[in-house]
Amino acid sequence: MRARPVRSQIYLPVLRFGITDQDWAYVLLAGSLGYSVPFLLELQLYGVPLELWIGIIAILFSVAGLNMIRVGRRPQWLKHVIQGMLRGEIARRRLPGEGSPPWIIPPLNH
Amino acid sequence: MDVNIAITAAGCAAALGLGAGASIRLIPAALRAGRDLKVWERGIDAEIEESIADDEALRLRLARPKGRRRDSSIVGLYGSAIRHADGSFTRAYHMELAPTVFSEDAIIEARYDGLARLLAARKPAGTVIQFRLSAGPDPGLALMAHADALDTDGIHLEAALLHALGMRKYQEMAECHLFRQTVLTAWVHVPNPAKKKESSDAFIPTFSRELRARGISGFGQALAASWAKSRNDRILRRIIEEEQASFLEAEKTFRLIEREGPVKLTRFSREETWGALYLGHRQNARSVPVLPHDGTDLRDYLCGETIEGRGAYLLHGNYPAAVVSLFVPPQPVVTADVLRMLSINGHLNFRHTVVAEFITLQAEKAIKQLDRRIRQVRRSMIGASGRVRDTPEGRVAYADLASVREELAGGRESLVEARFYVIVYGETARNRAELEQSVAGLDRYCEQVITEIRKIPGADAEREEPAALKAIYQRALVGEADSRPTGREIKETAHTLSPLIPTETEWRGAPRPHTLLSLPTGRLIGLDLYDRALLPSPLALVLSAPRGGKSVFLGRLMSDVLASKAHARVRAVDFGESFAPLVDTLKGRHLRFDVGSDRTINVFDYDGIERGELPDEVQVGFVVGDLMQLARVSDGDTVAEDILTRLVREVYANEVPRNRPGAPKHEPVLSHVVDMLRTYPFQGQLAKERAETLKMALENFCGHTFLDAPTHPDFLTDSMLDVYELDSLEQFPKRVRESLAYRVAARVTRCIGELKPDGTRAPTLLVFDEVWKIVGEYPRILDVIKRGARTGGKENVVTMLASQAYEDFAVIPDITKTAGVKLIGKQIGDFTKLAQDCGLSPQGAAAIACINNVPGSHAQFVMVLGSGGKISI
Repeated sequence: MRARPVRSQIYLPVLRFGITDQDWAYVLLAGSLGYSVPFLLELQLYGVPLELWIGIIAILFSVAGLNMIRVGRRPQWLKHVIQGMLRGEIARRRLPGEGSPPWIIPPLNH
Repeated sequence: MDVNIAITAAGCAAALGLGAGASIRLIPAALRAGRDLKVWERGIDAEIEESIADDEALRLRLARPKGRRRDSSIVGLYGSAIRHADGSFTRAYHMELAPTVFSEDAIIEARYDGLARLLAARKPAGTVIQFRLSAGPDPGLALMAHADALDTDGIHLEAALLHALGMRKYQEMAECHLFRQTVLTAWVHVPNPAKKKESSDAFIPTFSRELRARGISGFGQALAASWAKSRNDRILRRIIEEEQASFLEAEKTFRLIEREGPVKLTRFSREETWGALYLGHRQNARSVPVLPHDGTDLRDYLCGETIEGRGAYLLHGNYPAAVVSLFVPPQPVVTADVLRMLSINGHLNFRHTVVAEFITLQAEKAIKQLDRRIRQVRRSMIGASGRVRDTPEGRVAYADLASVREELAGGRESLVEARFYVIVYGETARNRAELEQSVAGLDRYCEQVITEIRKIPGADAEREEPAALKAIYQRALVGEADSRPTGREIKETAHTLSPLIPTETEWRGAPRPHTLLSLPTGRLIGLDLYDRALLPSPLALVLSAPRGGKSVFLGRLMSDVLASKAHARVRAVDFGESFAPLVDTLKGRHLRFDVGSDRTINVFDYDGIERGELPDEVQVGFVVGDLMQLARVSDGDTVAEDILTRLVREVYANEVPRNRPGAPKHEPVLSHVVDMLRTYPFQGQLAKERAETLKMALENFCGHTFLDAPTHPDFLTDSMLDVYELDSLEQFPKRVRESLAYRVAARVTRCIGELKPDGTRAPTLLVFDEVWKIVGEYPRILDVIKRGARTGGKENVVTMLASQAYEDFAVIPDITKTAGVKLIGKQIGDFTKLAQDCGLSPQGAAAIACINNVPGSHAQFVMVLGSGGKISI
């Protein structure tokens, strides 16, 4: 049989500091918020502008958090957990009267 | 002391006294009650009470069950296609599984390349092609087909009894779920290209309709009502014309897929689609309701069963279910036969569905992502100082990406995303005990699936965790597939991922079988040697080393034919009494030749002579062959052959007319030919001289009790099963032995079934066992077999030749190469020539090498059907 190559570089995500391509957007968002909010509110700690600290801390925390979510977990673990929590354990059967109107709009109604 | 104080103090004292008194009595009672309660709680009564309370709570909840309302993306059917809530469509197809396990690699590769082209074909981004291989225990479909094919009148009763015992065994095996059945379907989901536009408008038309209905004064109510409607069901509604236009757009993609498919895709009818959807969504259902009108929201029907998360499994109706996903694809390479571990596996005889989904990506976007990644890898290979870090990982990563990019250049290849998972179901569970048992079975099944997937080099699979299971299972149901990511996607080129489609199976067997066979891969199939559509050639070879189960298998076929086919006849030539037990059991005739008796066969005798019918050319040829053998005439002596042919015709012409209906049967014999040799006026010296030598040779046998006598009445009575024992000839002189063996072969070969009213003949099975002995001791019989094998098809006669090795048939290569069936058992030594002549692929040859017989239990055979370029194994 002909060997068809499977290249892990294609199907595996690119990681930098343990963060995938898509997740870097969240890191940047957290860093921006961490910087801009204290900056706009002119918050200071011992005379030092707080945005310097909060921005860096937000980036570090988001990197750590995203690593925690990813390392040792399966892909989209957090999404599935949240979905599971929101949907609950039971998808109950439909009851009479829970149906919807027809999905084809009858000619007379439009 | 004040009176008031005294009264208060007295009251207090009285109250204190009462309290103390009450406490003294009540506290022990309370303690006792507490103790009693604890005891009661540990007792059976409390359990019953609790159970009643639970039941009551459930009863009260019947009207309003616990949990969130179940949902589905499917809202209806448009024609035979599935309509989704977002306006997209799905169409279902039947796909034929190909019995190519032992075929040449090129055939399998071509199919998967074709499938890759189908996956890579330009389609709307987000199109999902889902292949579902549904497997489950076979209740005995082959048994049912066999029962349908059984004739009731005119069968051999003893054989039928023996046959029924064998069938009972298969039935019990089927009841124990030892056999498996598989069905492959394809589900194509085409997204709604105008989804965004139509969805954004969904609220507005609703609001517009509500406003028209309620007027300006009802603006607020219209707003609230339209908001509620568009928010609640999230169904994209269209007028009929819009729906039709959207469907026609989707239909283009469906047609493209049907055209591009290398395997035949047959559309599900509307009823089939509805049945598959309903039974897939309602696990407890055993029948399908009448399909509602177009436009009806089908979710009321499809979501009529609760799906409950129970940790590692879901309880869908009464069936526990789990999902095993492929997390790491086979690597570093994948081959076209990779899925045989799952599609043809005797260990996976439980209910499960292998699902392979392929999502079409936006080509330009996928290429851009790949380019970006190449840049990233290149950048990572450059250090902070600007020097190139030439690491092996970097080099490999870059080479991988570059090779994919090259393949994508010019649109020769396409990137797709694949999801691969197996849905595993437990047995139905109606109470807690059954559920425990079923869940234990489910755990075992999942482990089995994971084990089998892990046998694929480089692949890894795991059972889905509870949270992911809930998200994935609902979308794994029939018709629910869409392109939203689940985190289980594997991105690669279409040619690499196409082998993840399960398309292979074992040979499915004959539709009207007389014999059932079980395969080591857990399938029960049927064989019909008389099905000319499957087996154009009426010759079958059985090859097996000594003690390889050859004679037992032949005996089984003989018994099955007699038990299944009306008025069937079986004639066998045996050595060493291999068939003696079968003949005794079936009360057939075991025909032997004993010195001192007069039980013989006359070679001149044939069916029809008693009615005065002249013989055909084949019969004349047989007689001439026997006379040449007796006279020791070599094959190249054409003069002797011509003389004997002429004389035999003359003898028949003279003697046969003496027969007429009602009169005693008169058969020509050897003496008639010798007389004719004496008296026939030959022209020419050469003929005269040759006739004289022939006469001298044949005269020796005139008056011989075995060679010059009419057929003994024992051989004339009709019998469904005759076995001729050629070992009994060993006591005769060589020429007599050879002649009698020849006559047996001629008689067996001339045996044809009775003519039926429809003009066809009843089936006949001719069996020649131990052909290697025939080749060694009675080589002239092979000429008879050759003639019989060539003409048997027209007369509904199947000839089976059995021997120990393929080399035994070397003298009749023209016949063996074209044999319709080759049943190959255990082989000793090199069988390259056999593999070559049978057109076996390396896998087919390997299957022969892997044959594992267990004496007393079973014997294995590789069955090659057809000949030339068109074979099935």
